[in-house]
Amino acid sequence: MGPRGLLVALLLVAALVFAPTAFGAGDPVASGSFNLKLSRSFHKQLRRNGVAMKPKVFTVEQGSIDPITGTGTLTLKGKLRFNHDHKKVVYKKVTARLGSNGVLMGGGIKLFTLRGGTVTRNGFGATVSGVKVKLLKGAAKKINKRLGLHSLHRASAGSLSVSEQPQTVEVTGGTVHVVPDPTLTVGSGTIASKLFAHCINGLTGVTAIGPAIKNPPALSPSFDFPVTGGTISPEGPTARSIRPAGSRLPALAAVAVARRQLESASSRPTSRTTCSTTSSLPTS
Amino acid sequence: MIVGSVPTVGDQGVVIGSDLNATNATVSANPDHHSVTVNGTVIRINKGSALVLNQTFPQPSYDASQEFVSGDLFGTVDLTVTTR
Repeated sequence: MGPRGLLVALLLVAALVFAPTAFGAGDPVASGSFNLKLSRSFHKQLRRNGVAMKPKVFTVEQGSIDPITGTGTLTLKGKLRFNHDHKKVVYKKVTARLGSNGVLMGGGIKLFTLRGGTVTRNGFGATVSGVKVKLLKGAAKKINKRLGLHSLHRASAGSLSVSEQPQTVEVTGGTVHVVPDPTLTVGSGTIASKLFAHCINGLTGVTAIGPAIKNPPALSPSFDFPVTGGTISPEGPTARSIRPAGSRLPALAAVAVARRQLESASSRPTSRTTCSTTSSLPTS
Repeated sequence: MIVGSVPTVGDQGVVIGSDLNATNATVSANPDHHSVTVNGTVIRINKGSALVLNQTFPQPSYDASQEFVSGDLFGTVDLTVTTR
């Protein structure tokens, strides 16, 4: 049997490759603020009943938001309190769901519905504003009972806005430019310095499979890999290497290859004592 | 995957991993243009990659110092991406 070419794909930057997230998923929030603006009528309703609702501004503890659609879920720092004289109702674990069936919850209880709103980009993040907030009938009933009131009722409570910056953002495209170290000095610890001993021609033995490309010059080539997806932290390498989500770097579209020609397809490599005379693949 | 005593002609699809060290990489992010660049990330092959390379491309005359080992320097990576 004649010589056979062996083409081995080397995924040069394999550590970059992870399954890309589904497009449209939310970006994890690094920082953000959540601002409730009570309407005049709701403010009057609270004041008429001697109820104080605090706070109206929250810091986002965690969650994710799609910066294009403004949908997402957020966990807010702190508690939501309703006070009346010496009585109070405190809701822990305040969460918000933005989008369809939007709701503001406290302690697992639905307190306010969240509807509508507009999204504007804010750098890598987004600002969602003009979300209509409405106190739910069931929530009003519970608060009435706990505070000894009777007249809190379902009503429009105002609007809210959310402004956030993401930990990581979704990659839509790009390029990975790989520059092999050309140092050939024996003992330098470079791949290039060991190729010849393994019968790989350093100049022609490493090439690219499209859509990856091998760039000139021939004596010191580089490789470009299209980026097809993934996520990346805009904050820098520290964030990318520490945060699990940030380590999800772009997936690459193609690989580079190393190749050499075996003397005989059936021979065991260890039985050879010299390299074959050519390093190119046979044409078929 | 390469199987059998007769190597198959063509792309074998052998995937080897590399370790990326971004300690000295420079990162720049442009929030207005939704782009991020990371330049100067160093690529070194890992243990598994060294094994694959040594087995796939064995030396005709074995020299231990010429074997691929974990940590061998491949080169550097510059990453330029656009984000949504």
